[in-house]
Formats: sequence, structure tokens, C-alpha cells
Amino acid sequence: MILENLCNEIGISGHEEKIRKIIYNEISNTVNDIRVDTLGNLYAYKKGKNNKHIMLCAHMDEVGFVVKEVLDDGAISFASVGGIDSRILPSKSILIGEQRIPGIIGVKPIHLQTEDERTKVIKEEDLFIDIGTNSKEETLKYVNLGDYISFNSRFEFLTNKIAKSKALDDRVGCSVLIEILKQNFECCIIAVFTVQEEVGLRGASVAGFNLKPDYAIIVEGTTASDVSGVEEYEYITSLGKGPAISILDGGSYSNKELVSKIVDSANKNNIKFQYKKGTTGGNDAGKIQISDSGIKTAVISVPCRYIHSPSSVINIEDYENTKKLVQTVLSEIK
Amino acid sequence: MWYNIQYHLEGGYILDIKEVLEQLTNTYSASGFEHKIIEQLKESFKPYCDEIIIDKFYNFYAIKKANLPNPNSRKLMIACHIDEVGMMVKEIDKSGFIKFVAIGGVDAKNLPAKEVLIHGASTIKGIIGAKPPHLIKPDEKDKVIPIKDLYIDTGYDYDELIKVVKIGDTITYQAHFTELKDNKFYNKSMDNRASVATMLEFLVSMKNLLHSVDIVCCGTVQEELGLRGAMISSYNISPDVCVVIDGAFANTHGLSKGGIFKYFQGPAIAVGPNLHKNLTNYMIDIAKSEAIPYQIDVEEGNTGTDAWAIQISRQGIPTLLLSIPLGYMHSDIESIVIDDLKNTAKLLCKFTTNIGERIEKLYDIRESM
Repeated sequence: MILENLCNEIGISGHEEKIRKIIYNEISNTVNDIRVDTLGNLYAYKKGKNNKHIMLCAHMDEVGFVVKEVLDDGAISFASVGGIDSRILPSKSILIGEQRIPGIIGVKPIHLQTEDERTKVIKEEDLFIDIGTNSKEETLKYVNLGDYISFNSRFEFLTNKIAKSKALDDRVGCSVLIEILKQNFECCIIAVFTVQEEVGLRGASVAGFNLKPDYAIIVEGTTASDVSGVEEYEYITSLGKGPAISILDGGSYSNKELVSKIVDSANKNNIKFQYKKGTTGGNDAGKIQISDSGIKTAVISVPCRYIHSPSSVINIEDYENTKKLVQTVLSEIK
Repeated sequence: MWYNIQYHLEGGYILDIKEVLEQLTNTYSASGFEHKIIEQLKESFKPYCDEIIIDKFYNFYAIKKANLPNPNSRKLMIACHIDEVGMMVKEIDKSGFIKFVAIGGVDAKNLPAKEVLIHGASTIKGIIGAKPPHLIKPDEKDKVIPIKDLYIDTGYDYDELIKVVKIGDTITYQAHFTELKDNKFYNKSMDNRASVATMLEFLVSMKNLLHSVDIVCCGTVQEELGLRGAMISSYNISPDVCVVIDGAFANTHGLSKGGIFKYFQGPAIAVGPNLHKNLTNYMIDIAKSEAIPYQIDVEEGNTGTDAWAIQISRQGIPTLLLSIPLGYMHSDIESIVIDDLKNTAKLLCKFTTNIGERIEKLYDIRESM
């Protein structure tokens, strides 16, 4: 399954090569042209029959960490790449670098903690990775400063509909784009797989340059907080209610005309959808919209619980409906 | 057969202890649910003992009779707890999320985004979740989310979930046996399966050694809940001497004060009021004379292990404690080094082959003067 392969591969911001390779292998013989820019963004052009150009966008990178320093006893000090809540870090398993060296973020056993320590969140700078070595010299045989670090978590289905994995944000987007590119549409498609979204929409900042599409649709993974202890009005998005259409988020106000087309298409084709009920979070649209002389953007997202953790959860039907919605919108562009 | 038995160079049998450890730590038996590990223990220990007994609390006893004359029927008990920390289903809310409580000392810090297994009518996987960070109030940002505010997400709807899971079902960490550098391994429940693997390696080695005491290898239940199995089993066996094997805190990063032990330096032999001074000194002498690495664990009072209960069982039982250096205790990434397990088993063998005579002296009042 394409989504599974994408999720199981490692591509921390700044190190998207392996993801780019999977994408290239999937689409190279179904598109007219492919190029990669100096930042690493992958652009795929698919000609259609009419004159409309639609830009589709998804980011290839995932949140993770880097090796910051190696201490005298061999322990590794690390820094997060992208936004990771430090409360999820204690006792997690990770993999370092090309060799996927296994390691663990270990903390002091509960028996040795003071009452104060038991209730206080440990900051990232006070956490360390143990790869089993005993000295700085030994650790440096296996690991270099700056090596990327990923959560050690495999894609798997919990039920026949619900899947858990790391990096669903935004391999769901990459997977939708790949599947779309394997189909044919009347309009021309420019699919852009961006880099470094998680560290400040860096790839997106240059992706819109000189493309001049009629519209751009960004396909993302977004927060679903439809969980225990949260009031319904705080859900943002919910699993099982279909793709989430953004109106306004931390980075951009979606183009009303485009959103209207998307909503009409969903209604016409009986595709379940929801609105993203919250204005938090940013994504590539924030930069693409103000690229060049301005691009009309909209964001369609797959709801993800526990986003930016090793165990993010989606409803695969939401993924399928997201893909379907992008399909119908593209088919209706005249 | 669970694992490869390789021929030892000198003609005996040795175990592939790494494989044993993997099998044991991949089995799920939270406190109170130890019946889950009994079949595996039976199969593992059966070839090396004369009799296996399981009592009504699922304490496990593998008995190997003395192969030298034992006129006074002296018994040496080796005790390891076979339970692990875990959680239990407290409530299933209408959206299908599971609220839970801890069984044993589980640190709430380790739980968010953790993969767990719920052992209901069938075993299903869940993810431990909490209120997302963007919904946390500023004054709550630095506080660890307590267990009562966590929940488990299985992906099931309420109606489907209640067919499989009910209140009281046990929950454990997902096992993930992994090798690190330096022959170190991590998984859940190294506390105390590492000791059980050590006890098996000891029993396998004893098959070809002479001993004048009956050996009872005992897997005790519910240690994490208050040494319950230890109380019951030591009463049942009434041994002359008991050696408890458990885990000790290894010197992982940031830990260095007293009571912390080094990987590769062998078992930590405990000294203090909970342990029998004379026999403990004897254990230390054997380690020295046989050049087996060891460390000293100073325990000024309650050792926090089965030894505390066993020492005052029945008329009192001389007790010793050997601890294996173990990192990140009570998490699902508990770490040990294979060398330490092997050295602990070796020390136990040397102790057992020579203990007969010392036991007789225990009952001689002149010895305590």
C-alpha cells in the first residue's frame, strides 16, 4: 500500500531524499515532466486537454529530531525538528540516521523521583537518548552530530478502518497526490511535493514561484481532537466525518471561490466532508498563497489524532474520501 | 521446543539465553494475571526438574531433588516474581475510549502516545491519548498528565468494543524486544523476566552438577502489588534458605548517587538487615574466589523485593538478594546486559553446589555466638 510505504520510510525535515525517491518511482512514468529544485522540492507536470492549471501540494517531511551533542558517558542530547510536545517523549523508541541505529529516550525510574519530579514535565533539553554505549568515543563510532532521528513506529491497522502510524502528516497528502497523478484529467496538474514544511514552510516559500496556476489545493494531515476529555466544540476535526475543508487557519484565509467549488463538488458527488473548526495551525498554503503575484489556495485535510507523535491515528475512509474529493474537484475544473 | 539448546563445550547443556529472554519478555502477565505465563514456564523448566507444581494463586514451582545424600531434606528456594506492571480497564465511555488505572508503579510520564495491548475476549491494540497540546491551559503546560486524565483509543466504536473488552480486563505495554549496542537489550518486563531467564539458566546448568540440597525454582505472583506470591509460596515450600533475584537500578544517564549499579559488573549482592549476614558473606566469598564480577547493594531496610516478605515467613527464612542491573525500571524500555544474567546464574550455581554444609551450621547455636 503506497501510504504504508511512505509512512514507514524516514524523511525528517531537511532529509526528504528517501521519500522523494519513493514518489519519483511511483509517478515517473505517468507524468510528462519531473524536476527537483535546489531545496529539494519535487515538481511533477501532467498535461491535460484544457488550459486550466491546478497546483496540488503536499509536504514530504515529517517531524523528528537531530543529534545535537554526545556526552561523556555516551548519552545523546537531541533537539526536535518541527513541533513536538515534549510530554510524549519519555520512554519512546527511536532510530538514528541511515543505519537506523535503535535508541531509547530513557528517564529516571519512578521509584527514584521526588514527589515534585513525578508531576513535572521534563523539558526536551533535559532528555537523552541511550543507544547502549558507555562512552562518547563509542557513541561516535555509530552516530554523528546532526544525524536525523525518527520515531520507531510502523504503519498498522488497529481495526479494518482505523490505522496508526508515524508521519501520517503529511504522507496522507503525498499518497493522495500520487494516486491522483496516476489518473487522467481535462485540466493540467502541477503536483508539488515540498520539503521542510515542519520547520517553517521553507519548501513552499519557493514552490509557487513562476508557476502561475489558476488554483492551488494543499492536501494535509490536520489535528483531530475528537477524544475523551474534550468538549465537542473543541474537536477541530473528527475521524469518520470525511475530509476537512479549512476556512481560515494560522497561515491563510482559503480562497472563497475555490472553497465554494470544493463544497459544491462534495455535495454533488455525495462525498462526506467537514469544515476544520478552528483557526490554529499553519501549512504550505500560508506561503503559496502569497507567492509570486498571489495564488488562490484552499486546504483539504485528512483528520489525524495524536498528530506529531509516533502513534498518529486516521480513519482510512477519510483518506479515501479526501482523494475522491480532490478527484471530483479536478474533474469539474473547466 | 521454545529455544535452541546448544551443547556446551564441556559436555553439558547451555541455553540460548537471549532467545529465552525474548520469549519471556514478549509474554503478557500483569500482576494478578500470571496464569498467562504458566504454560511457557512449564515448557521451559520441565526438562530440567523432577516435578512442577502450580498452586491456587499461580505461583510456579519447579522442583529438582538433590543428587547427593540429603538426609535432612534441606531445601534451597530461588524466587523470582513472574508478574509485570500494567494497567486495568476502569471504564469504557460512550465514544469507545477506555479509562484505566495502574497495576503496580507505572509512571504517567511514560504513557502519552504509548502503544498498549488490552487483553479482553481477544487481545486488541490501543494508543494512550490525552488532551491535545493546543487545548492545554497555560498553567497546565508544565504538569504531567495524571493517569486519571489519560485514555486508550482502540479505533473501535463503543458497540463493537464492549463485545471484546470489559471492566477489569488487564492492559500491558506492547512488547518490542530490541538489541542496542554492547549486547544490551530492551523490552517491557525485563523486570523481572531477566531474573526468570537467569533462574532457568541456573537450573539448566545444575543438571550436570552435584548438589546435596533440593532446589525449588519458584516464580512468585503479584510482587508488584505487595509481595503476595512471596508470602504464600515461601509458606508452602518452607525452604531452609531462599535467594531472591530481582532488578536493580542501572547507572543510565543522570543517575549516579548511591544505590545505582553498573552494567557488566555482575549481580548486585544485597547487604543489610533484610538479608542473612552469614550466608550473604558466603555468597560474596564465592564471587571473589571464583572471580565472578559482583557489586554490593547496601540496603539499610526494606529491599522492596520478595526478600522482605520471605525473611519473616513461617519461623523465619534466611534470605539473600541478587539484583541484575536494569535501566529505566517499570517502563517498556527496560534494559539489561546478557553478561550480567550469565554471571548471576554462574554465581548461583557455585553457591548451590557448596551450600549443603553451611545449611547444617545454620541450626547450630554455637555458630551464632
